[in-house]
Amino acid sequence: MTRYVLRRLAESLPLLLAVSVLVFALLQASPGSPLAQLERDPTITQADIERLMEERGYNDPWFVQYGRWLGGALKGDFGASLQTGRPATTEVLTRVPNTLVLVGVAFIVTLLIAIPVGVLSAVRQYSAFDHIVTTLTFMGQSVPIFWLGLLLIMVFYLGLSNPFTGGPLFPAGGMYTLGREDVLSNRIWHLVLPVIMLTSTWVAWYTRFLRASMLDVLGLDYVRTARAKGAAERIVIFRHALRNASMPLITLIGLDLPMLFSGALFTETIFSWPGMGRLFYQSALRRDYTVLMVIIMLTSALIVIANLLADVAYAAVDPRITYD
Amino acid sequence: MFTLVAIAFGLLSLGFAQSSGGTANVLLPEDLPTLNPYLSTALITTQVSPAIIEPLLTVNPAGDYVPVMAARVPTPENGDVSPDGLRVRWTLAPNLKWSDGQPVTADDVVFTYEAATQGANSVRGGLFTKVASVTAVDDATVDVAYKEFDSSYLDLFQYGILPRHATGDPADMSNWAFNRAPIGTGPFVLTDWRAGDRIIMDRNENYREAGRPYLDRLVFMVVPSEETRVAMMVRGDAQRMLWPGANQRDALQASDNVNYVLVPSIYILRMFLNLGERGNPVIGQAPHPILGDLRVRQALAYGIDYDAIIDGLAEGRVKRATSPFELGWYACDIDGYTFDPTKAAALLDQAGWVMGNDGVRVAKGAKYAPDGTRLSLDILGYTDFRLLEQTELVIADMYSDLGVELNVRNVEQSVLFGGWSDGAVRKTGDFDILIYDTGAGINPQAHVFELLDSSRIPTEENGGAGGNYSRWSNSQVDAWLDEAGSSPSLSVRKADYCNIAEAINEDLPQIYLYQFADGSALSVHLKGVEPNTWAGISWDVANWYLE
Repeated sequence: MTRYVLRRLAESLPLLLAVSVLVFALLQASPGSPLAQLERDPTITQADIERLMEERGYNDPWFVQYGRWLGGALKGDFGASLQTGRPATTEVLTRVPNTLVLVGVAFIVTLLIAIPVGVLSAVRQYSAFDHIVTTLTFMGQSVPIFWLGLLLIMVFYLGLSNPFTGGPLFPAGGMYTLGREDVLSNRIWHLVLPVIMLTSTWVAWYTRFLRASMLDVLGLDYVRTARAKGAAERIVIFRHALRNASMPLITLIGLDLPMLFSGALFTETIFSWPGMGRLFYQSALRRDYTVLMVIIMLTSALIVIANLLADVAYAAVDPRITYD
Repeated sequence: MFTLVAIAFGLLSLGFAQSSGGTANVLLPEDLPTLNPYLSTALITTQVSPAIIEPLLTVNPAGDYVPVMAARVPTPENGDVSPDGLRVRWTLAPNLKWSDGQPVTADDVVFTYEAATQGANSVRGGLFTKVASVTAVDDATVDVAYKEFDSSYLDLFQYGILPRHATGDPADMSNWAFNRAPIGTGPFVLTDWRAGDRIIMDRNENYREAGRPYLDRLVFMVVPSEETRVAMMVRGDAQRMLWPGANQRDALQASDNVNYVLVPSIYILRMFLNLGERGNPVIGQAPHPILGDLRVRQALAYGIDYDAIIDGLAEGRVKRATSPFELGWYACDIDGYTFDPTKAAALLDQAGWVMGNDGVRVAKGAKYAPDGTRLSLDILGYTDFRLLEQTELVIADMYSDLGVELNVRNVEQSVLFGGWSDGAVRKTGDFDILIYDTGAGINPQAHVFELLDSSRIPTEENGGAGGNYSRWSNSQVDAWLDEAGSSPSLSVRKADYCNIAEAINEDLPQIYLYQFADGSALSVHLKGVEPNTWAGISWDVANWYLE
């Protein structure tokens, strides 16, 4: 297993290198420049812009710029953000913990809800419970997430008040109240609405997915055999059926894991959460190529790792799978 | 005894009417790239940075220069500007201290010049192109020598003074720790900057004015969603919101917690009439077949119901404009045109445009157009600006009553404002009428020179430089522009500008429509705030207080 993991990691290096070349070339080819905003300032002369282009090396061909970038990257220097002047890695790393907290909590809550509900909904197919779940998940998938976030603010921030303090029931955004950064309850209080916004669609998606794969499995011979043997229903469902139905779920989680780092743009925007989704969006708008490269390379690396984790998890769940 | 205390307290509160203390939250739509205004032209930086990094002068809401770090405004009258305008003397206000307690000296002003002009990645070098040297005469006096007269000499240090001792080598400017942790003379000092989240500032104990700022703390919160910003203002969790959009005005005004204030914007909507032959960017060659005739241009100016647009369409959010000179010290009082469809029709009749069968006039003995030419014009604006698009449609409607066909053809901003090499029609003159908003700052010279001087007509020869899109060539106007650009006297310049305004009104290379206003959303509890057309929101932050 260890050898397998090491081999997979080694194999991923050329892949990441290829990704970096491709992305770098694409970014350079896209219209607009990090200096575009200067053109609209009447106090900036064309000569200034020319000088800055030269100073920053934007006039070099893209492969020369790529060579410079790669040379730095191999030494761990991913360059300074073109907008803020701080190291691009610093820009990204200050956002990662914020995103991990928000998306991680939402992800865990999603799984805690979606797995039992999905299983139960499949086991009791066509029951009243199943109908309600199907309807709710359908709604959850259809509701525009942006609208849902605004609705949450309307109701829980503008509409309802805390009966004890008179303040809003939940805050409209941010990660904490200034001065109470270290108070856990304050942090949780700020997490509630954005987590609801994120989980509402994820739960819907995961529940439907799990329900479908459970239904596939429940009709199969080995489940009937297990029942015929007289195994308790609980064992039939959890040991025999869910274990097999969870294979596609692991794939799905594996695909979604990089999202833990890449963030959730809409939720972060509505709830003023300083996370990776917003950083990515802002950097793209401002043509901050160095920061974009760090984010894209980080996400690519995470996709590789998440896929590897999913493959390892298969082996743990399904004894038939071995990698040696 | 009680009465005495009450009287004493009353007297006290008269003397110190402003209450001190507290925190004001200001909502920003995005984080700043940097707090060093010499590194970025981002508007958001210059909105926030004056709370820490102060200029020598600022401009008050009335449009007058007022000293900040300077002891006085240099003028020819007080001897600080030499008669030829080539030497400007700046004197620092006495006893100025940086927030770390170090004294401010003339050398810091010299250093600012060095950083702006030699600093790696400096974006403000252009301000100093006419400067020959900046030298410290003594600890409090700086002399700026010019290679040629610069009418914007008062704006030279508008982005603030940098401390030599707390920054670094100009060549390394983009890496200064100062950029995220500046030391300034402003009313506040940076306490903490949490990227993408909050910028926290506390009162500067070394601030030159005793008792100020009134606030203990100023927090700039990054709240990207406009709806969320409005909700926070309405709920009273924030005291000021930067740039509320016009579409949020009703929601903000409906709240008891918010004052919605409008201040004039420098942006003016105008129609540029192409005086030259369409798509023939050669100075003074062939006149436009329709717009080349002054009577037609006058008819078009009389044919617009300005009040209907301003009150009906824009609901009073804009104000009538009649020239490029609407604000501040250079504002000119020009009567402009009023809606007079009868006069407009008469002018078109005189000019040889008779009503055709389909309701559009055709040429019959017109000055330049061959007989049978339809009075049909294209108007070109940019997309995604609703008020502009509505204005075009309403004008087209008014013109159709006159027998003038106006075809609205809008393109994306990046296409309209493209350069000569992009073949942008604005540059190449391939249009009848352009419509967009543009504006001059407190010093209009550069703006109006680009717009009106005959040397600024974009042509093949000058590589499409210049913004005289009407291709108006008036030697008298050129002379006034030259005088205004080379005179240190504001009264001389204003007279020149008002002469130009009259000339525009007579010759009609442009038809001026209206001037926009910028909204400002303030908590009803936040007092002492003066929204200012000329300076960012932090210009008067020392005077803010909570009630």
